[in-house]
Formats: sequence, C-alpha cells, structure tokens
Amino acid sequence: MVWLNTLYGVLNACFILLVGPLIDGVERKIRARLQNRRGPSILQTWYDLVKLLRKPAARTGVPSTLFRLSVYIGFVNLLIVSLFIPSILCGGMGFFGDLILFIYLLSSSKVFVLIGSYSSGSPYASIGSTREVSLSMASELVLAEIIALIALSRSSLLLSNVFPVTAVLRPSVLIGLGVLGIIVYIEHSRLPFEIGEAEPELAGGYTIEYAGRDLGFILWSNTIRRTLLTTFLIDLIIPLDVLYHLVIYPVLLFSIMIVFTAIETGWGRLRIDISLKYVKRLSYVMWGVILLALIGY
Amino acid sequence: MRSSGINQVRPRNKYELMIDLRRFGEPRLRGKYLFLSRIKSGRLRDLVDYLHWRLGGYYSTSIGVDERPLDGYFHVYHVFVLEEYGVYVLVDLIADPGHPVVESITPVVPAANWAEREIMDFIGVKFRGHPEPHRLILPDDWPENVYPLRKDYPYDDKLPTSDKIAKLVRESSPATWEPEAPGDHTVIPVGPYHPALHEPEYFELFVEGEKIVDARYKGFMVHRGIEKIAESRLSYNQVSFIAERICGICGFTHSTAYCQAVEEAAGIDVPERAEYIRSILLEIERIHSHFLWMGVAFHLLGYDTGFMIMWRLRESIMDLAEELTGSRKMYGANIVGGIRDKWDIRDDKAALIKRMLDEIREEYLKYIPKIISLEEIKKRTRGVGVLSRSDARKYSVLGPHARASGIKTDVRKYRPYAAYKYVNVEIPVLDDGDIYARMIVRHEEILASIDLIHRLLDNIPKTPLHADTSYIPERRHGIGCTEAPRGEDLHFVITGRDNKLYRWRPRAPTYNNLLSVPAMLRGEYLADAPIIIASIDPCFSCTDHVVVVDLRSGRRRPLRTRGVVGGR
Amino acid sequence: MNRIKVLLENLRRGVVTEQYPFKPIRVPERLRGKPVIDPDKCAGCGACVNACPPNALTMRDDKHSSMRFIVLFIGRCIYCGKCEEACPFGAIRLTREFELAAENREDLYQVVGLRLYHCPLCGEPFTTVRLIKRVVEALPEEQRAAATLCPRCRESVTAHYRSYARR
Ligand code: SF4
Ligand code: SF4
Repeated sequence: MVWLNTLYGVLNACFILLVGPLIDGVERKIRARLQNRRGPSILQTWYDLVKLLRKPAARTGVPSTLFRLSVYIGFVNLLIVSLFIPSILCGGMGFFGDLILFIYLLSSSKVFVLIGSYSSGSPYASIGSTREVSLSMASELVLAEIIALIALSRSSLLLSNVFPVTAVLRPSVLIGLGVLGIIVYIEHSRLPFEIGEAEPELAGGYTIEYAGRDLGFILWSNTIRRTLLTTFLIDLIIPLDVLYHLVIYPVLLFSIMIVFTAIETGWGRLRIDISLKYVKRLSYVMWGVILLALIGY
Repeated sequence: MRSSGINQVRPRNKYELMIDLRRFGEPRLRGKYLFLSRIKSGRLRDLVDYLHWRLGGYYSTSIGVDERPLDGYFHVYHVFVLEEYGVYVLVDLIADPGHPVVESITPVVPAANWAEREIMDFIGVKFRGHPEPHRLILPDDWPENVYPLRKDYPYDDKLPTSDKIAKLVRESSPATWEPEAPGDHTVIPVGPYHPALHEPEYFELFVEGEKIVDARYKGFMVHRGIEKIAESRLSYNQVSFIAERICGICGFTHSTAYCQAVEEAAGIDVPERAEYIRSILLEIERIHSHFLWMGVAFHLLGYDTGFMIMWRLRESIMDLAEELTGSRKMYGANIVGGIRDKWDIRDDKAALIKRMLDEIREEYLKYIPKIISLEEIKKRTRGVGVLSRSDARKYSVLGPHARASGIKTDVRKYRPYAAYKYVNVEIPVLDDGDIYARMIVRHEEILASIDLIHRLLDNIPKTPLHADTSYIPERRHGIGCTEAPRGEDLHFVITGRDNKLYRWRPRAPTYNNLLSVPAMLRGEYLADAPIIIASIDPCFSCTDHVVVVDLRSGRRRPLRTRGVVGGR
Repeated sequence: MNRIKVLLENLRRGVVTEQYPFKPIRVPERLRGKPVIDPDKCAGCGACVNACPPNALTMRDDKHSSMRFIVLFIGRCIYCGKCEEACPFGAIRLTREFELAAENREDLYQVVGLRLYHCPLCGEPFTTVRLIKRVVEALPEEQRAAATLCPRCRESVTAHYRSYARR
C-alpha cells in the first residue's frame, strides 16, 4: 500500500508540474481572445519557462544565500504538497499529513520567495514583497477560519478525513466553500489583487531582482501554486473516487481557471489599502459562518 | 509683490496696455507682439508679477538668443500670453556679453524655473536670484563655459574625447547639487527606465511605507540638438520636417506651430484651404493622442482590457491618417506658407474621413461609459493627484491639465489659428483638478474633435494650397502657437539670411506641465505615482527637444541614486 | 455588470490583430515607403540632394574616375518625399516598400553613378554628360553652344556681349 501510494504521489506531482504552465498558456489564450487578440500558442508559457531555465541567473551585487536559496526552498515546498494531495489520481502519499501542514507548506513557499526578494535590498522588490505579505497575511487569516470550519464540520484535521467536505451538506459549508473560492482567487494573485508584481507600478515587484533560471523557477512555482490551490478547492467538492478524479477533476480544474481568467480580464488593479479592506470584510463573513456551523447549520 | 505705479486702472485694450506698460520700460507694439525693452532697473519683478498674477495673463516661456552678431548683446525674451488683450508680451532683457547677468523672475513665477536654467546652460546668461541655479540640461561632464547655442559654437563641433572631458571636469568641477532626502525616507527611483514611463526620465520618490512624502524630477536625457541643426544647416522648409520629428505623438502640431511662427514673422498669408487641412489633420492627431493616453492610463491602472480597446481605436485613427498622408504618424504635410500639393483632401477622402470617424465614435461610445464607471477606475482616479487652481496658475500648466483644474484656456478658442478662426470650438472645463477630471476632459475632447472635423470638412473652401514664400525678411520675430493635445505648443523664431533661421525655439506643453507633478505626488500612495505622472500626458521627447549632447565620452558617470536629481 | 458587458462586446467583435509577419499586411495606396532612384532616368542634377532634410541623399564627384555619384542612404531617410517633389526628371520615387531591415549596412545604400561632363574650354568637370545632353536638347539651336560651357567660361565668353554684367 505504501508503495502504491508513493507511486500515486509521484504521478500526481508530475501531473501538477506539467499541467501548471499549460493552464497558464490556456489562460493567456483566453485573455487574448477576450481582448480581441489572437494570442500566443497555449504552449507559450512552457516555451518561456524552458528558455528561462536554460539561462544562467544573472544577479546584481553580492546576493545573500537566502536570496539564492529561497526560490528553490519554495519550489521544493510545493513539490512536497503536490506529492500528498490527490489530484489526477485519487490518492497520494498524503494520508499521513494534516491540513495545517498542507496550508503551511503552501503559503510558506511564497513567503520564502518574498523574504529572499526582500533581502536583495531593491526598493521595488521590498515594496512588492511587503504588499504581497500583507495581503497574504490577511487572506491567510480567512483561510485559517475556513480550516476551522472544515475541522468543525468533519471533526478532523487529517487530509484523508476532510475530503470531500461536501459529504456534510450544510449551509455553513456551502458558504464556506464560496469564501474559499474567493480566497483561492486572491491567493492566485490575480487582478485586482495582483499587487506584488504590479508591472506598471513596481516593474515586477518581488520578481524584479531575479533572472534566468531563478526567475524561471519563480514563474513555474507560481503556476504550480495556483494549480494546487484550485486542486484543494476541487478535492473539497468532488468525492474521493478514482473515476471522479480521472475525469471530473481535470474538467473542473480547467473550467475554474478559465472562469477566473475571464473575471480577471474584466478588472483593473486595486490599491493595497483597498484590497486589504476587501479581504477584511471576508474575514468578518467567515466569523459569522463559523458561528452558523457551531449552532449546527 | 507690490504693484506700485501711477496707473491702477486696468487697461481695456492692447493700446492702453502698451501705454500702461510704459511705467516699466519701453513698449513697442507690432501686431500681436508687444515688445517691452529697456526695463527700468528694479522693476522687472514688479512687471512680471503684474503680467502673470494681476492682468490675467500667464507666463509661457523664456528664450535666450545670442544676438551678439546683430547688436552686440545676449537677449532673453520672457513670453507672456495675455489672451484677453490678444497679445504676446515679450519682455526683452539685454545681457552684456562681458558679464551676462540678468535678474531672475523665478521667485515671482515658479514656472520660469526651467526655462531660465536652460538659458544658463545653452547661452551662458546667468540669472541673479534664481533659487536653484544648477545645470538643467547639460550633463555633469560637459565642460564649463562651453555654451552650445552661442553663435560662435559650431554645430558640427566634435567634443573632446573622454580623457579630455574628464580633465576638464576635474579642473572646472561644474556645480553639482545633491539634495538631501527630506528626513529618513526610502528613496524609490522611478526611471530613467521604468515600465510606467515610456521614455527615459527620472523621478525620485521619497516614501514612507506606501505614502509619498516628496518627489523630485530630473529629465532632459534625450536632447537631440535640433535647434542647433536648424539654425546652422537647414532651410526654412526643411525645418518643418525636423519639427515634426520632435515628437512621435504630436509631431504635426509642432510642424504647424513652426510654420505659423515663420509665417507670422514674414507676414505670409496662408490660403484658407491649407488652413482647413491643417486643422483637420491637427484634430485627427488630437484624437489619436487622446486615445493613446486613455490606453496608457488604463494600463497603468492595471485594466489591460481597456488599454487594448483604446489602442485598437487608435489603430483605426492611424489607418485613417495613413490613408490621408501616407504615414501613420509623420504626416509630412506642412511647408511654410501652406500644405504640400499631394496632401490635399479631396471629396473622396473627405467621405472616407467622415465614415471612419463615425465608426470610431460609435465604437468608442459603446465602451467608454462602461469603462469609466468601473469601481477600481473611479476609486483610483477620483480625488487622486489633485492640482488646485492656484497651483495650476503658479506652474502655468496648459491644455487638458489646466482645463481639468478649472482654467479656461485653449489656443484654438482664445488665440485662433488655422481654420479655428472660422468655426466654434467647444472646450470642456472641470473644476475638480483630479485624474478623473483630466480623463473626462480628454474624453469630451475626443468627441468634440470628431464633431469639429465634420464641420471643417463641410466648409472646406476651394483655394490654392500654398502661398508664395520666396521673400522672407531678415531679423523678424515670430511666435507660432498651437493647441497641442497636451496644451499650448509654442515655437519662437527669429528669421535670418540665406533662407535660414537665426533662432528657433520650440516649447512643448509638457515643459510647463511637468513642473506641477511633484506638487501632485506629495501625500499620495506610491501605487498611484505612475498614473499621477501619466495623468498630465507627459511627452518627454517634446520637452527635451533641444540640444545636442551627443557625448562621445564613452562612459558616463555611473548613475548615483541621489546625485542625478537637480544636479546636472 | 459593466465589466462583463465590455467583455461581451469584445467577444462580439472578434479577433482584430493581424498575423503579420506570417501573412502579408495591407498597406494603403499612397504609403510613403523606401525611395528608389531609377538609374536610367536620373541625370545627377542634385536637386533631390538639396531638398533632402536629413542628408539621406548626398552627391560626390570623383575626378579620378570622372564620375558623379548620387548616394541614397536609407538609414537616414525620413520618407518625407521632398526628393520626389524636387526631381525634375521623375527619377526618384517613393515606393510602398516598408520592410527595410537589412543585415548589412551596405544594403541600405543605393548609388547611382553618372559620367561627368568636362568643360570643353577649361576641362573642369561641372555636370554630368546626361544632364548636359538633356539641357542641350531642350534648348533652341542658337543657345546650345553656350550651354555646353561651364558657368565661369560661359561668363568670360559671353561677357563682351553685355554692356552691363552683374546684378
Ligand atoms: S524621402 Fe525625404 S529623407 Fe528620404 S531621401 Fe527623399 S528627401 Fe531625403
Ligand atoms: S534623382 Fe532626380 S533630382 Fe536627384 S539627382 Fe537624379 S535627376 Fe536630379
């Protein structure tokens, strides 16, 4: 059984690694069509990545060890997550991990990059990472509330036990899933919440000091993180079943990403103070939902 | 400032104004130009105060001319626009070649800051009492006492090689100025290359968290020396093409202003048909420019869909221009005295223009109300980057930027040129002074321009396309003004001999508008800095127009975060 | 709601970008593109050289080979069409060609060489053979002889005909 699960985990991880950039390519095509453009090939993100990964990482000044390593620590974190979360195959090494660890690894992968970027001392990088950190702190609070809700509903924190949360159909769970959808959207750093890179304002923000292979890994990590977050959302919804995962999961994955892209295309960028206000509002909503769950709805 | 004097009654027309101004110097009225020379000692600042702050005029620009070969002096002309009287007041200051110093007017009119420094750099006239008498345009490693716009400086001079420059710099150590950051704040350099600025310019923002505490600007990095080339090598008609290339967005307005300046100086009457064609092309250019601005604004607000839509519309305008003139942007239509033959707009073309403009208007109106009602667009433009009316006066801001701050100004309406003499021009004026107001002003102008083109096309008369320009008298002053998409574009010329200019100085609107940017940035969010800077629709290449600084020095001094600000 | 309407309107309009350079692009009839000199028509008069604002056209007389070269350097050209206007023989035209990137600087030059014409009296070259032919052909019989001389020789030869000479 352990061997089989390991195999599942590895296959799942491979799937996530490959499909992340592919989804991004599809998104670019969709965005182009919504803007009357022809758009690049759907493999374009992969082409970009391959090109970047083959280039040496040019660095300014004397980079700290933190600056260099952080990208890869972040990447490895994501790799671990993808090993134990069920994606295309129903199963994985995951069944010993718990929810908190999962969330921790997922969000720390970003935080590592931000810290590394901050250490470069570039004013753009520091502002970009500060923005990103404050936004993700706010949204992680909401995420914690959602986890509390899930734990309440399923009376467990083990990954294998909480999937799918829809097994208990309560109003609180449904609202919770809705809020989770929004949080996933925010954590994807999509417009209007794409404020850490903010090309016209910060010239790439936290990614500004990275180049070549390092930048390639950051971009790859970003697509993987997006895919994993969405996977997590889907896992909470669809039954833990082989067929469901093989067929319904990819369909849902692509549809959610496409819907998100369409939403994103309709938006401009919000300022950090306004975005934070939005996220705070969400957290108030979640308190209410938890109360709802406590009284049994 | 005191405005002492015997006559406290406000003059009613330009003749009374001339008599009134006798208390400051010797006025001489020639058509639209009121020259005021031999300013009584100590009265210059009173005069400037009177003209700019009391008479309802505004300071436009200053021009330095090396007239030593003509009358033995350096001249400085301060140009004031008094729309109410229909005159330009040219305050003519004379500087002795041995000791070229005149009094500065910047303490009274801050808008004169750069123009005076530019004269210090290029002509070598010093301004007594200037608050920041530092280099503006010439780079740090430019040798002292070499003034490129003096007549004895050859236009094709090769500068000394880098070693020699380094030596010169070491010996002369030009005054560089390193401002202190106000307090202990993070310094965010915006530029010289930055995705929000599409040209090399440099803003330095001092921030606290995400709030901007102060801002500084350093520009003039792309001088191309066209003034010198025009004065030395080109004939009158060739300059119009160089003038068009001052800017890649509003080139035609520059060439029109230039041609008008020469026409004014030489007393040439442009045939009506040529005037109409000029106006039509100018309006096409304005629509193009405003679409471009809208696109950039939406891009900076992160709304790329809006950016794509606006630039798609702009593309249609460019197609139209290409059909009419053979080029998307460089229309190449102007010559002194009118329009070139092939650029005539015949009936088939007129129909094409109308049809295309109607399509563009329809499409534009489908989108724009929806876009400007978007929450994030409103939130990030309303009440952001506010410039009050009095500040707008202080910096003599121009064009849509001024109109959004409640100042009624438009060269087309108040000093009509070309075919604007024959039609009514509607100008939108708003009082809010924020980015939203600037956006709405431009939006209204797009619609007004489309309307205007229709009316112009309906009335286009049948006359020849150009006047006889074989005789252009020498030593005449001329000012050509147009309402560029960004505001008043002023070209000043003095005619010379051998079919050449003696002096030419273009002053683009951004030159004045940029001065107001630091004031708008203070206290705003860093995230809003790009859109605030862009909200004046800055055109740096226009502003920087002037002098050849083609340093073959190999390497420049490395860019220090602080030192580049006001220092050069 | 508005944000969705904008996107829907976009969808209705469909793709507008071109597949250029993979597919050719339409250019208007009167596009001002690369100027080309017709070497059979050009007489080397230099009118275009005088008119050209950025000195994209230059003229050089080479006494050794007895040739005049009209040199067009596209790298400096601003496509203003002044040369076309100035040319008395319709020899230089602006084409609709706009894809002007080149791998070599040399590819951006067009050089037209014309034989120089020497004054039969003093032997100084002052114009091209082709131009003098055209001028002579256009003149009435009695003026032709004088036209073949260089300006200085012509003046000294004809000086005694005039009682008043200079302006
Ligand atoms: S088109 Fe203009 S720039 Fe080009 S060669 Fe002719 S005259 Fe010169
Ligand atoms: S192209 Fe025309 S104008 Fe130019 S040298 Fe030849 S004949 Fe003269």
